[in-house]
Amino acid sequence: MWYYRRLADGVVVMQTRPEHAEPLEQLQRDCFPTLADAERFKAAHYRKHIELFPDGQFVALDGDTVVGATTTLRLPFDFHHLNHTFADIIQGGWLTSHDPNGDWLYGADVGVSPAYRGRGIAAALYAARQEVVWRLGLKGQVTAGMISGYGAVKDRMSAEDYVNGVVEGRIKDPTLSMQLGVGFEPRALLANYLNDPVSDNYSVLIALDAAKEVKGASRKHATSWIRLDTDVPGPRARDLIARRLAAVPAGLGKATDVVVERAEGSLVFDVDGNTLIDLAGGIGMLAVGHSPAPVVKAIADQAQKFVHVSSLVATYEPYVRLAEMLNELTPGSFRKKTLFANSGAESVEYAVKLARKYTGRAAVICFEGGYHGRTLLTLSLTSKYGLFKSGFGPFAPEIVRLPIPTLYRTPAGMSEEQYLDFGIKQLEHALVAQVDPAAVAAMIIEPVQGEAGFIPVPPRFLRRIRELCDAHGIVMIADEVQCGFGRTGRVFACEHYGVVPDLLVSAKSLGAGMPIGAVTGRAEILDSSHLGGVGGTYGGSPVACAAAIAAVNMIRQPAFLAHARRLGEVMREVMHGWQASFPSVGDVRGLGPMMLAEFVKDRATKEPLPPEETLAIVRQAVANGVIVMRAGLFSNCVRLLPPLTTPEDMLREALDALGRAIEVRTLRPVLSEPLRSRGRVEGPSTASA
Amino acid sequence: MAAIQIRTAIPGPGSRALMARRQAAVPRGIAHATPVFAASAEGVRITDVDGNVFLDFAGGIGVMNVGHSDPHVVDALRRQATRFTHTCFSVAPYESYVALAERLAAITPGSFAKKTLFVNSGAEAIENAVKIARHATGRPGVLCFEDGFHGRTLLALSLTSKVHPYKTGYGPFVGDVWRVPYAYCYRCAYARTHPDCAFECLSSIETYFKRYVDPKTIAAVVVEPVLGEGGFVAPPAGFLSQLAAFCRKHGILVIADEVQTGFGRTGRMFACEHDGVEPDILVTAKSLAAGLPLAAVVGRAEVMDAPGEGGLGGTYVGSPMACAAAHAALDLFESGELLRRSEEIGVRIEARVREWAERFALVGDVRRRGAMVGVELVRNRQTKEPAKQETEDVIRMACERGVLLIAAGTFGNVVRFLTPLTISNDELDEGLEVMTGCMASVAAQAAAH
Repeated sequence: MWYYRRLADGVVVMQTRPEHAEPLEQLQRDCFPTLADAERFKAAHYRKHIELFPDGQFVALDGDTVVGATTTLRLPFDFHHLNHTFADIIQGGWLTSHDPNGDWLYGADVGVSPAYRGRGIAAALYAARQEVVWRLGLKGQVTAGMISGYGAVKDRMSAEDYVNGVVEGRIKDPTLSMQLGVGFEPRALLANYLNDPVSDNYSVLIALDAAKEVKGASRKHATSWIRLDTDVPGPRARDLIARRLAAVPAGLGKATDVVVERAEGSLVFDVDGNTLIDLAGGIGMLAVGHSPAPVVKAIADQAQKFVHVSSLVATYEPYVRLAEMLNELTPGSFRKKTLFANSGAESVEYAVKLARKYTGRAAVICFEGGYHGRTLLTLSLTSKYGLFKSGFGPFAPEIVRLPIPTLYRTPAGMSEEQYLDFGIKQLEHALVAQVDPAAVAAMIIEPVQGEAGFIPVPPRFLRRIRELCDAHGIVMIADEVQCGFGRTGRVFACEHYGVVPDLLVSAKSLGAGMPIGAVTGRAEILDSSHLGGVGGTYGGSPVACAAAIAAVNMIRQPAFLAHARRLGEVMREVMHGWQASFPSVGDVRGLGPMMLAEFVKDRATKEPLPPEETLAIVRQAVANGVIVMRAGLFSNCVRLLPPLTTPEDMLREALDALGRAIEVRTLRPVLSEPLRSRGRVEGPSTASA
Repeated sequence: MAAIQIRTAIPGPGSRALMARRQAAVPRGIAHATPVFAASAEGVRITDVDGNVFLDFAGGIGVMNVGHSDPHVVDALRRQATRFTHTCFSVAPYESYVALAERLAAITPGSFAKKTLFVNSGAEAIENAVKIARHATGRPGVLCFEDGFHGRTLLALSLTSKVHPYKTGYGPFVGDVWRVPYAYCYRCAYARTHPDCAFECLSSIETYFKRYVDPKTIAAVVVEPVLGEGGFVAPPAGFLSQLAAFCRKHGILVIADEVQTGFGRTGRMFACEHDGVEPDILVTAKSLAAGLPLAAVVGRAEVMDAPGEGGLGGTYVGSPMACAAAHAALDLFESGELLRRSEEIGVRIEARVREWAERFALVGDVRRRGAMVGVELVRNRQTKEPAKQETEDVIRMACERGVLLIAAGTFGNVVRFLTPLTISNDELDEGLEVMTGCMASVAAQAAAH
């Protein structure tokens, strides 16, 4: 779905979704009471239309109520042989006459609920159709307009005279006059088009050429996914943000002022009717994109059965099946088990508990730049103090934090290899100077550090960690909450390294948006807990497990991962272009499609761009129609975490918008307000015919 | 027409086959109170994979106050899934989070300005409440109670008081945690009786502050208005309000853990209402979102706003799906019927349980607040020796006969009732009848030894 437009009175026009099928059947009865029942569309028909030609089906909504709709199909329409009937077109309601290569958009019907007429909804539906014409490169729209006023006067004049009267403006027909006002031109009178006394079975073939402008239709939107009808935040968004300030603690961060109404795939539709491309995915949660059909169905099916019984009371198959899937998919050929929690933080807590119990030891080694959550223990393992930790101590005991080489900031006078050698020596030295390895229960590391700024751990360093853990009986915990589940172009980041952790923690994209986290690993470690030692009320929520099963089945497909890797190539190509053009781009790095740009004031000194200037880039990107987030120990990076199902052209459009934001903001950083994206914003007033 | 239908042995063949898969894939450390696999649930009934129908007196550990699969909730979930499942409120906010925060501010005790943070579980909510209290007061310490339970993440676990199975092997724990006895009158730490004791458990905290810790280093007290896992211990009226007054005298914030007592469980929307206590921070979860993972930290605006921007957060927090379910759950409470029923259910259960107390020496104590009823079983009424094995026997037998139950208590000897508040009198009586039979059997065996 890519069309979403909010009219001035709050009615929304968008492409039809499966949940609209039943209400649409009712709308047909309300709009066309005089039509024979066999000629009205039923819910099953609408579901078929969405399947056959999703681009061309639209609904108008007032809140959740369907108040208008239009059904279209593509046909190779021949204006020299234009006699046809409604029945020919709709094929019993199934629209099987639709030709995917047809060069005209044929409008099968337009209906507006009687209570909503006179508000411009039909015109808005035609405008939506015109955008389809432009996006698909069709010749125009053609339809058979019902002369709904003719039936009343058929004894007084011929149909030809009536139509001429309407065209000349002498007669006002409720339907045809409106259509002519939209821009349609009459081409022929069709007799016996359908059974409807209201028009004495006549209709007028009308066509709206692609060359014509249509009020409310945006030509720009034909070649772009982003649609900005208002500023972001617009008026409704600003209202909600004010309510948010009153109801929600100030400490809860807000990366953008985008207020979401709906989302699908990689597109987010905000409450003011704008369409933005989502490169943040809710902080990397949405490898499979917003609301993909298999996930939505899985959630609905499970909610019908039961939402919660608690894995501590009774068991349920989705929990077990998802555990089996993770046991199979994660690296390592040894016997494995999986435990579920509600979040990444809770899963890390479990991993540490189990490592402590298994080894009988207390100390945990973590690394600078690491982020593992915000509960006390995971916050203690987390590295970035000022933002995350300030005021919340004292922290957990027996945590040892060690440095890790970040190659972009290799000290002057050293090569990267020398820096890496030194980093490894420091690691080994810490096991003498800071803590005895026999006292260490676990080492925890993100194979690609997330909040630190998408820093892939150098392979030699990760392998050395594995060796040291092996040598000293330490449990190696890989935190793949952000880099797991397809994010790096393989199912797990560890696969790139050929390193097998003892425990792997996952969350985020595991649940396609539902709250769930997991610890998967060696069965003997997972089983080290005595009975009752692990578990929680909600952990492994049935609805979340069901969503996760659907998501994991999508992610594990080779085609999914191949596309993810392709997205990574596109990102690299574009972002290296930024590095060549913009001096503020100090580094471009990542693994697969998990990519990030680090901004600096000076490439030689690598002094970080101040956080507020990086935030200005984010704000400008949002103003350009792209949702992104910052990262980095110095909050000077912009990270990319798009749905991995994003089409390539959509990614390129988003990267272009982001590139323009970087360009504007780093050339003129002192501006306090984001600029409109180079005059391409079209409000309703600028898009008129 | 009986609700319970037992068609096979418990567990049946389907549950047994699934249990084998569970044992291969899932750590053995996760307890399971019953050996059955759920296939579907509706209202107060859970159907297992072998077609046996059970009465659910556990509510998924107090999560299903509004009953299973309420159509209003299921519909809300279906609709939300088509709109968006997640955007991360900290990245791109959405109205349902804000509206839910507004609704909770309106129904929680206290008419002062409040702010609400959503997280995924009771444990996460307690962790955040403590973080916020530390920041707001600049103090590190936390005062908590013996027999309290607050979650299994490290800080929450440090506040939790039952060593086995929750804490064994999982230390070291967090420092600056101070623990005092609760008003567990049946097992009074001071060997007194109420009201003669004049709440010695409270007045002795003043002495504790002389021997153990300077109260000016304590940020907050974390207290359950009725102990949950600790054994459904309802303190005498006045305990909570006097505790609150005492703490405020020392500048200590009051964090009420209403994870299990909230949402009508005790006959009022929140248990604090019984004592007229307005906590500085109220933590709730479980029945908040009709089974979806959601928890809330609701507190005085000035306290909640202490952390700077970015200090609070999380990826999933206030999941749109969970918020949708929570709105639907709150809608179901609006008529007041569920709260009214809560007290009626409790009265009915208590009447039956008091009969047990007359018949069976096994019953040591009966405790109730609203529908939250606990029965503590002992081998000897004088010594109060906990009857843990007998409790487990009652629960196992009840499950075999069609009633799902769980235990509680530091000594594992409390049978607790957590029925959905939508349970009908017929269903309640049917389950209680089954339980009476189990109690009689177990009591007879105990007497025979």
